[in-house]
Amino acid sequence: MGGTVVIAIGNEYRQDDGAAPAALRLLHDTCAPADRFAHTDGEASRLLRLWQGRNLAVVVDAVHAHPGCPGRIHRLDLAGTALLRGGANTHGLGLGEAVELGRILDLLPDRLVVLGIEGEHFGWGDGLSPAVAEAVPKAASLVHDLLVEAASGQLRRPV
Amino acid sequence: MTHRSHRLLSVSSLARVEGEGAMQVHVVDGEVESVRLSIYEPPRFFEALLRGRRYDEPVDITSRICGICPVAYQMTACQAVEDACGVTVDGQLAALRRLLYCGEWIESHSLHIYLLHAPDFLGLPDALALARADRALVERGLRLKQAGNQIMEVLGGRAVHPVNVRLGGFHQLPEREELDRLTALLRTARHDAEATVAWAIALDFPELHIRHATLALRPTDSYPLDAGTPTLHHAFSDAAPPTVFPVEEFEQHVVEAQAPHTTALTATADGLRYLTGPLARWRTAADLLPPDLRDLGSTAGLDTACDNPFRSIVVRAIEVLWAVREAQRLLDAYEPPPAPAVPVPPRAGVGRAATEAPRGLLYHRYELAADGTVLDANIIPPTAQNQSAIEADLRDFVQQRLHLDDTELTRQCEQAIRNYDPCISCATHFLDLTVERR
Repeated sequence: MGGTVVIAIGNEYRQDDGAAPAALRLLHDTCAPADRFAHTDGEASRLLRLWQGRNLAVVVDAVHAHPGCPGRIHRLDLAGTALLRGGANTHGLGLGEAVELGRILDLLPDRLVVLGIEGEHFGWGDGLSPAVAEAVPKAASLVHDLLVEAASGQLRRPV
Repeated sequence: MTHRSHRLLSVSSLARVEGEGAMQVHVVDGEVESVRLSIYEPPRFFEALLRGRRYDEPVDITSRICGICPVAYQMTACQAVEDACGVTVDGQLAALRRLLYCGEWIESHSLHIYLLHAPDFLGLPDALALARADRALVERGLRLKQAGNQIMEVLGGRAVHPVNVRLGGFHQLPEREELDRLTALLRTARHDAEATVAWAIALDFPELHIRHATLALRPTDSYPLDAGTPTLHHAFSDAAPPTVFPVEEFEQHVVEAQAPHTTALTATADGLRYLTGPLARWRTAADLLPPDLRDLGSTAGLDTACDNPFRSIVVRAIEVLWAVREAQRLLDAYEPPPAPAVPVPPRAGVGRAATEAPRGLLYHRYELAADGTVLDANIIPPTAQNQSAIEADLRDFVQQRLHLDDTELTRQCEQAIRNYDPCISCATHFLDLTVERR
């Protein structure tokens, strides 16, 4: 299959959990050079299917940190890194398990980058906190750079 | 530890279930004093959210109740609102809805069987360990789940919270080529589903026998999915005829109540604690399955009134195979309907519907004003109905296993809870176990 995919995980009706879908919309609206844009709930088997066979998969998700700094962006290049399991999800297996399952079953993309946007509020309702809303275009820009890098053939496997 | 007279087991966050909850077991002088399944996910107030909305909105709003079984909510909401409006959707549109529902059963059951429940039976901690131990098994589960996913994407527009369902039918009909792709996919899925049944039958099942009433839909001519008459068997061992009542009388029989330790409502039917879901469906309607599938159940030791919840994984496996075959049948018989939806003009009235979500019976009621405004709504999801039965079963289960240390007892309790595939997101979430031995 090859190519690139941008995967946004999150629920836009749970406040800052909607950070990734907001970044995805921005990328889509600005015609970022991805072969596929996908919005999903983070369930492991869906993630495996979305990134399987891709040269580059960029996953954007909202994250918690303790102590937190809402709007801070974390970048993880997961080709050779184990992602900690036990994240907040309601479907038993989430992003961390998907990465490990992909590793065991040879279903990881050539390169997998996760951008985590630290959220502040995850209660009911839509709308992002100001710091998170400010971080969304920054995250989109980081994704864009990765896509351009991949499109120009400059994508480097991490060492 | 096992000789203490007072004992408290606590699981503060249940794993491999949909949602967030906790369990507390209190043991006093060697007797289980209480078992509480605490659902601490905040209440979600969906019914209140629906009041004042347009009558065509519940189909999309209620699909947000659950990421695993959104189609169950959509199908039930559509049927209930259409009932209020005096419209029946039939023919190929009803067949397409049924096909979509088959997709959800295949996806949801495959997720539970392979990624959530199978590790318990194989003595493994989780799906990752299972993938390391038996790669082909997990690959088969993922393939099967993907087949269900594909059906949901083709008919629902997307697998998560489908967007193509509307009152009267669909926004858009599927293309022939898309359905042809599903037909090809289902050939492989059928082999995988058959292999799943053979694998599940060979598992070892711990002994646990339950005594609850069961509630499931009984259609006239098919295994229960999108229609049927609520049928209450008073106990697994009870040979007396069941109580059968129309959906219109559902709330006269099923009564919800609030318990202080949980944010989900609990339910009784005719005053009885009861179970809904695969075992209840098997009890109520196994005779409506094709004979070869019934025989598979017999081979697995499932008699008509199978009362061991650990064997529910076999019923789920048979239900997946049935859903795959039903999906094939619907695809073979498909002829494009003249329009993607039939008109559903609003009118004042009350509508009700019940369908079988993967986890059990799901009921919706809507009261509409003449202009279609939703005046009142009531949703009774399966996990809320099952909660009291799960607690009672755990009480018996723990009593028989008090010789185990806390770690092993906790592990086995979690396995027992997963028998019911609880969807706490629906009920409102799931497990965190505390066992207090005093």
